[in-house]
Amino acid sequence: MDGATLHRIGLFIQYAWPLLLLLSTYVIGTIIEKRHFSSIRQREQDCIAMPVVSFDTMPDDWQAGASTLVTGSIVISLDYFKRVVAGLRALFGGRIKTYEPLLDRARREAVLRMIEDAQSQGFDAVFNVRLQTSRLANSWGEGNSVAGVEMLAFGTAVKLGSGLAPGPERS
Amino acid sequence: MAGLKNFVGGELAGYTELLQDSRKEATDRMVEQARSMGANAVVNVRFATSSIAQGAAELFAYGTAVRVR
Repeated sequence: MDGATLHRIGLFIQYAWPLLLLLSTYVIGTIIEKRHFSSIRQREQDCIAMPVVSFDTMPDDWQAGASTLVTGSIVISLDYFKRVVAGLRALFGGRIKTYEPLLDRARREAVLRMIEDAQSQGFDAVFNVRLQTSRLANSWGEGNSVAGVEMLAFGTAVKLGSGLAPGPERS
Repeated sequence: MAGLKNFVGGELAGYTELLQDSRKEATDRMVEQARSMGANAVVNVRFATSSIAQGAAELFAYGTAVRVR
């Protein structure tokens, strides 16, 4: 291998590699995000009949048979491309649009997992739903970087007694 | 695995599972404490998470232990 080839390889590693990384993480990240959103929309449609509310009391005419705590959580991270964009945005301030879909899908996924937890145990409704966000510190010590964001949804799942079924047919 | 996922984005399933297990453990300890005090239910349960150091997190569950009659 002569000097010129080594020089070219050096140039490639120096300039092309970061661009390639940005491009590939952008493409893969976008595909993963699109798939995730379509899965979320589908599952939201599937469980739309179940009442999931943030009230801490039940309507007076509903009777609870059994109740328990249900939770759903997800740890999610931004792709490299979006992280770079967000970093640039943070220099000038303003709305960081690349973070918004991340938090949106994390929150909806957490709520969906909570609902699926309730449904799998045969509950009819979830009351007093609360959402919580926390940042996870990185485990390989890269300064103040963040491994991911954890979204937690929890609430009180309730089995309705005396055959009361909530729905549009009850007015 | 989480390192690669950190580049392409998306769910870090390993972390999700880790935190779920820890939260379950925290909830179990809370229930155990309530039981030792003679309660038979815990109401108004809340969770808290804090990043206390690089690679370490605290999961905390708290609630009001009551005796339902």
